[in-house]
Amino acid sequence: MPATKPTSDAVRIETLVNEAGSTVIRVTGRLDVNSTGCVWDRGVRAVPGTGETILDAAELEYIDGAGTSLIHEMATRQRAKGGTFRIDGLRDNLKAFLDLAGINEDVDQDAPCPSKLTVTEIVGKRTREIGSDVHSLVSYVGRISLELAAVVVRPHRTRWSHVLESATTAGAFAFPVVVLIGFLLGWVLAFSAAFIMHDYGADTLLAALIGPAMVRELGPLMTCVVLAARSGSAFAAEIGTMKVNEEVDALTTMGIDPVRFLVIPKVLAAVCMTPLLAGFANLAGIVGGALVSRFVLGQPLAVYTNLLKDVIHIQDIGIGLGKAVIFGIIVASIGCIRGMQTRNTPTAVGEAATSAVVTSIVFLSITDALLAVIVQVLGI
Amino acid sequence: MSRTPIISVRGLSAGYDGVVLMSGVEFDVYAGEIFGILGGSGAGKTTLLRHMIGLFPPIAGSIGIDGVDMVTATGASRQRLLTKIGVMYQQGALFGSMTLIENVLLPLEEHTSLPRRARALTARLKLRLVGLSGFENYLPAEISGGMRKRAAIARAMSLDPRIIFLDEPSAGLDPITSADLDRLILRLARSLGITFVMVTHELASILGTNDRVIMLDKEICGIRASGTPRELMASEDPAIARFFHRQSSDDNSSENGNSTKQENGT
Repeated sequence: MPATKPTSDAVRIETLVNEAGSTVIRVTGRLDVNSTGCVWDRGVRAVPGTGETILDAAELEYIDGAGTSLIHEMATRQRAKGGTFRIDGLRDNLKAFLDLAGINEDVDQDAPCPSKLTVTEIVGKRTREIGSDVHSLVSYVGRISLELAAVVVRPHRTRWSHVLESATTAGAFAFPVVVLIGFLLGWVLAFSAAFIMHDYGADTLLAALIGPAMVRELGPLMTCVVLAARSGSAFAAEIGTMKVNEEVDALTTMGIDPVRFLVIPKVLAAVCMTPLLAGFANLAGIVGGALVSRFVLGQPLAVYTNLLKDVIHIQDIGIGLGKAVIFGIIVASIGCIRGMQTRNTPTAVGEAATSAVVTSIVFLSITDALLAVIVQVLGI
Repeated sequence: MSRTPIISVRGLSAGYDGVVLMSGVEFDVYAGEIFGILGGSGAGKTTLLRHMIGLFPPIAGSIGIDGVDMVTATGASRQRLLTKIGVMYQQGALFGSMTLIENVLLPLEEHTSLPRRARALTARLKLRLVGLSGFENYLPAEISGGMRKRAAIARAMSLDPRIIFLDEPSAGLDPITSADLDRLILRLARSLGITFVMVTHELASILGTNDRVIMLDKEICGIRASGTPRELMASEDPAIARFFHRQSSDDNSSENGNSTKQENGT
């Protein structure tokens, strides 16, 4: 390419109206990669969008890809608003170039102007997407439930080695972080409450706050939030990668149900491991509270432990661990479902992992709220 | 070669998400032959293949495999049908977390009640058949692309299916490896009587292995021609001629030698 200065000297665009009332846009000179940028806005604005527009190209000496884009843009705009667009006087050698680029009488029949969506349309589209997403989630949940029931009926069909493997990576290896977060949660909760309780002379009652809160609510919830971030995303990425590599298709054509083969072991592992982890998180939280009670409020340890025995009932522990099981199923299922829904694009696996975490946490919160109401109504 | 159709496709409209790629597609594949599905990009070769292996249902029509319709089969009959076919995916689709032998063992474990030793021996023999003895305990990531494809064929064969579907067997392989793979396919078809259905656009493979082919065309949304590769190559139809001659001029130096050799072999 000769080093031509980017200049509008090379090309001139004039607009006039002829006796028939049509807009005539006259292009003179070279419409090439150097000059087109300088006249782009002027050219596009020259198009009125209504009536007839004629591009007078008799004086056009040269046109290349960039120039073709400008003419294409002008034609598209004109036709989008209902006007007609025609090119006059174009030299034969240039005409061949434009024909090759698809600018002639039958341009744009196949390229309708990409109309921008209105707010209503966007809202509608998103709503439909969410609707079909929920539909797909529900149908997967149904399939997973059926397969879980099948595990009870025919336990030998399950790959227990895979369950053990998932239980190790998603459960046992998560132990340190779950315990740490449980401990800090108990500590922070106790520490925040300690000074206020002290002001009201309630130093001895710290266990009544920490115990039930950790065991019934925070222990199971935080454990599963950690699992969603740590293991749910890993499940989604693992299955998503298999999906992209056609490994999931390969399972299907081997007559092996991917849900049974890939999803069920992970869900079973979650069912087994979440109550255990939640139990340890509860314990760690209570220990955190005990340290605050002993060292910040200066109470003997027995004060804390004796009250703990009174305020935590066996059904509290049962409810907490039961919740952990339900949350575990949610986290593992959603992780796997998002993996199974992965499409075949370069960013799909990342999206699946992100979506697994977000969806899990949303559903954890909703389920927790529902369970709180149910437990209240049942009076447990 | 016996003339019983093992696959018969009737009135098939192929496509997905409501997009019809082709309609009124009808053809038969006979037992023991190597059948090629040709066509340019976007002609719907892979979509047709995916309908045939039951990954997703076609828009209309039937795909009879050994007398059972793949489209409507459900439950146990579908399971039986799936054990009669094997599929080699374009990238192999071996399970990355399992060794080669575990990959080949998987269908045996899932679908047979053979004792453990018998399963292991069968899997070893399949790997030996495709020339991968000694690589049993390698992970797919540790071997070359051509070896992965051969391992994928071994896995596809683990239940001794009557039909093996191959999705672009030569994609991403150098001409020599690709010719080796062709020889393997020929050997399996001729000696074991396995029917192969392959999607491909590699001229050397087509001429070297395929007994009959169909050529899909997106302009006419269906089959443009069918017959032996030689017949298609001699066709006057410009669309077909373009497919064959453009390819042969592109592949001239490197692959014609292979294909000629292959043909002498058959």
